[in-house]
Amino acid sequence: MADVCLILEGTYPYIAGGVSTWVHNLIRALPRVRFSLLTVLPSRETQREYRYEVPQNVLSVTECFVHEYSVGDARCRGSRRQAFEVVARFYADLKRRDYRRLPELYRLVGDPASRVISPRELFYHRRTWQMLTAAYEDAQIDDSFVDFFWTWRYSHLPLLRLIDAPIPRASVYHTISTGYAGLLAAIAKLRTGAPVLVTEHGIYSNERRIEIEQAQWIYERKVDSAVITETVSPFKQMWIELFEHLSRITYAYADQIITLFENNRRLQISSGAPAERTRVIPNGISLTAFKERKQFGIKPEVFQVAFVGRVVSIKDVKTFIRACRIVHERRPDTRFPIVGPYDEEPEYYQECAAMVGALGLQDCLEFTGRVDVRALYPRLDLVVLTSISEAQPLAILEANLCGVACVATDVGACSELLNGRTPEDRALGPSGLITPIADPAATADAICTLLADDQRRWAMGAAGSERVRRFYNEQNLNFAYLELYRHYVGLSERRRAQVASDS
Amino acid sequence: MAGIGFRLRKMLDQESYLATIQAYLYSGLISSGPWLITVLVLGAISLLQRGAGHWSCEQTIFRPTVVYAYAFSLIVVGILQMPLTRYLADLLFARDFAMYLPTYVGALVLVGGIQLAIGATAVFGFADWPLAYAAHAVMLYVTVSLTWVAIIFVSAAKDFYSISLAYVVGGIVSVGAGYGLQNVRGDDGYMLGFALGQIVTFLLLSLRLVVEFPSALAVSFDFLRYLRRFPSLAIVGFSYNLAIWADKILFWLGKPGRQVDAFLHACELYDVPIFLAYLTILPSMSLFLIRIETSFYRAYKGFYSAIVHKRSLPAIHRERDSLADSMRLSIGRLLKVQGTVSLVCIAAAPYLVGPLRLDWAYLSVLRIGILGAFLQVLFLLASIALLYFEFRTETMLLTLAFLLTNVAASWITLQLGVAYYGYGYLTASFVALLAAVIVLDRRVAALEYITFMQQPIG
Repeated sequence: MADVCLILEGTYPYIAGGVSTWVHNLIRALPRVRFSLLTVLPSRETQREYRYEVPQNVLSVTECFVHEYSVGDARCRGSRRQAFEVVARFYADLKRRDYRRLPELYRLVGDPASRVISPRELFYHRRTWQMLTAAYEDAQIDDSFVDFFWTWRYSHLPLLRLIDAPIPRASVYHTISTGYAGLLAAIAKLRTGAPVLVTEHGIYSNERRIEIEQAQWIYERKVDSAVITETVSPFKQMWIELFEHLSRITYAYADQIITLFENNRRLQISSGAPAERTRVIPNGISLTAFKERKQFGIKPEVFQVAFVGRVVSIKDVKTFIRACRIVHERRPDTRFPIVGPYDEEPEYYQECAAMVGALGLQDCLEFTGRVDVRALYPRLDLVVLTSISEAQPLAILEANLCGVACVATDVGACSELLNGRTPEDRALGPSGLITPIADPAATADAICTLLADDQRRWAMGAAGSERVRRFYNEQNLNFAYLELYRHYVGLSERRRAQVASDS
Repeated sequence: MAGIGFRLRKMLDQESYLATIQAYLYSGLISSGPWLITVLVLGAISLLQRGAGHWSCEQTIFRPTVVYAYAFSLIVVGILQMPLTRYLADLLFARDFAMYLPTYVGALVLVGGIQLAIGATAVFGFADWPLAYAAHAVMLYVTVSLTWVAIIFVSAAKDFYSISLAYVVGGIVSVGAGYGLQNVRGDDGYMLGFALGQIVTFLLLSLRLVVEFPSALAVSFDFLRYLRRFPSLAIVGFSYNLAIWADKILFWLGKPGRQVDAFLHACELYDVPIFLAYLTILPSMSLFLIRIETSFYRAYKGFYSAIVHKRSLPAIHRERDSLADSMRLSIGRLLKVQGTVSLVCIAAAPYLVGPLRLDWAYLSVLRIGILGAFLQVLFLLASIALLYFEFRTETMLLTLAFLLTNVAASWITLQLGVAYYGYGYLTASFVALLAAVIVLDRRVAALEYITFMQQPIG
């Protein structure tokens, strides 16, 4: 039996990316913890090759396909009328965001060992139809019933698949998102009683909401294009509500609700997470990977103000370029390297390059492409981030560790990375300046302020270096997870021993 | 089925009495045409024989041979009837007209081959008839079978005028040639002449198809897929056709029946009045065709298009209600019209027996038969309505129930004696109709549930 079962939705080990790399590093950093993976995938047809070499301490990988059409038909004897009554009451409670009937619901229609209605019956039953039509009338949708019906079907099919998902035995279930994975964690807790941890990188319900609002595949009645409406189509609303419920259920069943930074924690709380169970465990970096430090006290002949990141629209490189134009006018001796790959959004890169030409910055602004940043940081004077959206940008941690002050927009974790999160952290002093998003003048002002004041800039670099060493050391943060695991595995084992001795 | 409906509605909309009669007659010929013409032709030949002083008609093997040819060809082709109709509807829907003729050739080859084998085995293996008569009998059996196939194809193409024309011309040839050749060659001449008329009908229908759907000469057996895909439809066609002959077969083999020759049995006491009774269902058939093809079809289409066109649930409910209303109205009218016709026929039966030179012993069976036919036609219509909603399994169970009750109840009446003859058929029709109406009512009441919830997910 594994110590920790990681529940993963459409990420590790099949898809490369930030969250996947985080999971991979966590597993590698805790070689003595035995992991099992429970992965939620759309269907067998999706890409299922491993993008990572799964470490030795992963005992098993279990797959659950949510978009497949077969649902379980096994059930036990018992009053179905009463069970449907519970289903109806559960749905009535949903409107008040009350999930207290979930254990009863799980016993009567979920758990294969006790349910009196099978998922298949639930899907085809006349009583379900009655609830469905009542819900349609209740929601006062005067729009396409056929779309309502298929929205219900497609939104509930994955849930019925999850009910019968094979859940590997483990002492602790740790889900790396809410959503389907989060529901699976709640089901695991209902089935085994084991504690549940949730770590959210992005806030799932928010990300889904944005995705659904822009979705073309959900029917929306065509309205007069001259009229701007604030309302979302009822079918999009159904999807958004579903994912909100899944998040809330995950929070309700999680023993610890972890995220990367304070802003996200606040978002979780406003989305229903009980504050006392939330905590921040940020991402860390390896101190040993960045050995070189900036030499303070030597005034450079030419300032190097770098943008570190991929050249993509979400990073808003154009605001950086516009800011450069303003700085260039005041300090013509400044260089502006844009450090990062530019092949991801070629069109956006073309626009940026054209803008550089139009603003006459060809001589001082350079797209370096993908380079090794470790050697680069000590030679920089400032690192600038103009992103319109971020989680916890590694560039700030890296630059600060190397002693480089930063100017960053007020998104994601930037503010707490530069000003400190806890009182103890804040006492170290700021390691950079925060600017509003999409504001080239403010960004330029901040850059000029710091370039003009060597002492302040160096002090910020030193504070940043200390901050990262103390609060963002990868080893310490992995240790935080190890501590959590130890605590809950111990709890789980004691509980099992208790159950064993009772029986 | 849409084409004929719209043309009929146009005819009815003219509000002219003549046009209405024409429409009724037209649709009557469509639905019960083949059977009607056959009964009329048999009757005409019978009368002609009597007129010519050939009183021996009932004693000859001619009439039972024709009845057998019709009965067993219908039962065998019945297996193919519904799946083939469905296949053709799908071809036409996909506008795949090039496949029409090859499919027709394929069906003819298949049915012709099977029926030739069955007919030849029966006639040459189990009967000791003169070679010419036997050959002509097999020819008739195969031709009638092929004609059923042709009807399926021409009906699917909605060319009912051609069907009527082919049958009328074929019928006239049958009567004329049968009468003419009988004078030259006796019974064998009768059979030859009659068969020639059927061949004319078959050829006219085939000609119509060749003209309508030109294609390279080829054979396709693709339609056999539909037998596997819709086994319930095959069972519906087979068991319905078997059911409507089951009571007759029991009477042929039972106490009141007699062996005419070899495997040929007959039971005039039962056959003649029941065949006559069938003629009384003509008005329902016409009326039903007009209703189902016009107002019912419109309501039916309204329901499904409300769903497809993203209407709200109350709007869908309203369409369902108007569909149910349309069905109730149709049934109500049928009951009134057919009920009146049947009652009048029952009352007038004694006055028919005389002029038609029928035995007075037939009277009681005729009256019961008229009532039975009335209920049976209502059952048939309910079954067709069920098939409109794709309730194939239910329809299959209903036709099987009809078959079983008809066999059981007819067997019982055979034991009970002559006073009860016909009641078996009446009981079976009543039970089947009752069950069909209950099923139809329940299914239509839950139509939205069935339409949505019972769809498979994938």
